[in-house]
Amino acid sequence: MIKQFIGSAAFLMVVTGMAVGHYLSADKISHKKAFSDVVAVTGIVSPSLSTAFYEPAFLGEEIEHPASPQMQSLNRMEFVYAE
Amino acid sequence: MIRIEDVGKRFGEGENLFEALKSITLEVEEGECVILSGISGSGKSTLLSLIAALDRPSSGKIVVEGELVSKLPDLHASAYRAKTIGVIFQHFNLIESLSVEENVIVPLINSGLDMPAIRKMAEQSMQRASILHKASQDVASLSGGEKQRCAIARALVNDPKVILCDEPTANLDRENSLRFIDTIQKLNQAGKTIVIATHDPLFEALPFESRVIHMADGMIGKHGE
Amino acid sequence: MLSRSPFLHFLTLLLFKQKSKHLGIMSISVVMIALVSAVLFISSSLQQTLQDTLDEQADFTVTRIEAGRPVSTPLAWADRIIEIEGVSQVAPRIHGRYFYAPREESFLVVGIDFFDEQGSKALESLVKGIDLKQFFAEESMIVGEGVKAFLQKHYYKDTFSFKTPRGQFKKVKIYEVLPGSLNLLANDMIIMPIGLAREIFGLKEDEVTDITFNVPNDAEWDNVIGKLHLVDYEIRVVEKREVEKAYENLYNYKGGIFLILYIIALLTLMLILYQRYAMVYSHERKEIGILRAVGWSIRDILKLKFYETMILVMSSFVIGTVAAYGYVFVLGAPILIEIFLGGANLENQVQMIPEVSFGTLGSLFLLYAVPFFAAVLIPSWRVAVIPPKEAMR
Ligand SMILES: Nc1ncnc2c1ncn2[C@@H]1O[C@H](COP(=O)(O)OP(=O)(O)OP(=O)(O)O)[C@@H](O)[C@H]1O
Ligand SMILES: [Mg+2]
Repeated sequence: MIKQFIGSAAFLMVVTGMAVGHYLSADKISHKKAFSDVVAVTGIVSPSLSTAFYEPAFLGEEIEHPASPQMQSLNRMEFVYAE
Repeated sequence: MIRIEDVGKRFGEGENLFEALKSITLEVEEGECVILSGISGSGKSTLLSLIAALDRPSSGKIVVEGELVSKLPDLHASAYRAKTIGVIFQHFNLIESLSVEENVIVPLINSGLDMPAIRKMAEQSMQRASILHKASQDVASLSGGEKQRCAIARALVNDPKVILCDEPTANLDRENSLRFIDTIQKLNQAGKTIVIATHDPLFEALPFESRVIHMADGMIGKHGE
Repeated sequence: MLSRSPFLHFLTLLLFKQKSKHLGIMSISVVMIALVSAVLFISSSLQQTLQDTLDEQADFTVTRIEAGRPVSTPLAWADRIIEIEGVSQVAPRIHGRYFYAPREESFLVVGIDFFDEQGSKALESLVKGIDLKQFFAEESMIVGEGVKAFLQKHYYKDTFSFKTPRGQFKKVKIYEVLPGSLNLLANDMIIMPIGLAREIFGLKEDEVTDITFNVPNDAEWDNVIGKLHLVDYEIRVVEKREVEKAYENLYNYKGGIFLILYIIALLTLMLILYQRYAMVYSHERKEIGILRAVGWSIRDILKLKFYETMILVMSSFVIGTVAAYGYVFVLGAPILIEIFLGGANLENQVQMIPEVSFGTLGSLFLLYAVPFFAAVLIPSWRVAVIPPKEAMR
């Protein structure tokens, strides 16, 4: 039994070591660089997530802003948890 | 040597108060074999458990091998059980999920010995109790007689001076009972002090020297020899 | 050496021989820990990435508001903003959501300026080997992975035809696809020359979506805001710190859905711990009595139970968290990520950057381990102190 136990403990240690190795070897710097490049190019920081599709409030309502007709403003939270 | 002086044991309180033992005084010499006989409920098991420090008397005192057992604090009581006493219980009280050998080593786990030494002692003990051939079998699958021999092996593994048996033959057929008596005789010859609680008439006429003490209603009545 | 220790021998013996007793509790704990830590991993990774990008954001964004609704911003404002003391890097932007009506999906179209030096440099490092002149000369676009996949599915291979508000179709070539590692930000993004974007949104020459600028000196901020409102009474100012605050709450594990998850996990933990607690009285009472009867002291019993519990707690926690780590950062958290991303937009294969908040993980461990130990040690102790004769009955 003791051999099985030491075997399982060693297995867990190896797996944990693999996770730690993966964590430490992750190339965060070039990732971060790529993200800041995107922001530098576009100036957009809002994540590419679900956005609520805003229906016009009443029939025949005009959409005044042709570029973002149905967008909610940035400081609203609904768009994250929408649907 | 076991000296029991004016020992009483009460259970419960108030209306439910029950006096299981009333002023027992008894002395067992070293190397002696004592048979406690008496009907069911006469207090035999209770007396044995007090000698083994598995419970404490309500009054009186018990001295075993010079140690005041009736007043021992836990740590010392445990050490006393581990070194001086070997108990064979009425219902064996084995750990069913473990094998015979694994049950036998249980009393030695905290003894400070290392594993090879413990294994060797367990093997000797199982040899003495003639259960060595079943060493690696799980207790749950043993027969009654084999379970008892396993219990004997566990009681002997720490080489105790005093061996206590509670109804050892209650679950055995005649053949196994005789075999048990044979084992007891050998232990007695080896100089162990033995106390057996039983109402099996087989023990009334043992083939070796023994003293029968009758118990009734939590009291001792001299009888026979 | 280790294998000669009788205590360890007996401990492992009990663990392996009575594994059915522990297996249920172990597996439920592992699932709960894995679930909770997976959520923690996802939220801390997303939060970290977003926080990083936020550092790059401009200090102020202004748009025009008409009766509470955003409308296109006059380009003329840019010249007036430049004149305000302490303002730098004023940049008019054209961007917006282009709705692909048949499926109610949308892309984020961003127009970029060839003459924006910083942006062009960043673009060159982002898309290796890009020929800027060619990109800006042609009607072409750089798209995110999600956009590419979406277009592929709808039989647009190398080009896509945008419909302008004037009712014309504008055919735009796909120049390049952005790497998948940027999906969190750029999955639904389309980058194109600013003139093209203006055409697609039907903005006039003197109109933009909004204007961004920086104010390097924090102390000037309130002053600048005051002056901005003098530019036009229809101006709406979004400060960077407002956006920051919004993001702080964005993937906060305290919020919404996750609160429910934690409550469920906590209830489950309490249930299994109660079961464990009851098990000591029902199954282990006799065993403890036997151990005590053959010479184990109360301390020996508690030591056995302590190490037994420690092995169970440690291994289930390690299995749970490592499994969650692999699930989130190696496999990309399939299914669970949907909760974070929502289902309204393009399918997003987000690649998460490993980010572990060890403090939270530590509290999770304590929250799990302390009640677990209590649920085993307290009843064990209470059984161990009764006379062995009683315990064995
Ligand atoms: N914990 C307890 N609480 C209340 N009464 C008890 C307790 N333990 C034992 N008794 C009572 O004490 C008396 C003596 O019990 P004991 O077990 O010693 O009898 P015994 O002589 O061993 O009987 P048997 O031959 O059936 O084993 C019994 O009447 C029993 O009911
Ligand atoms: Mg009895």
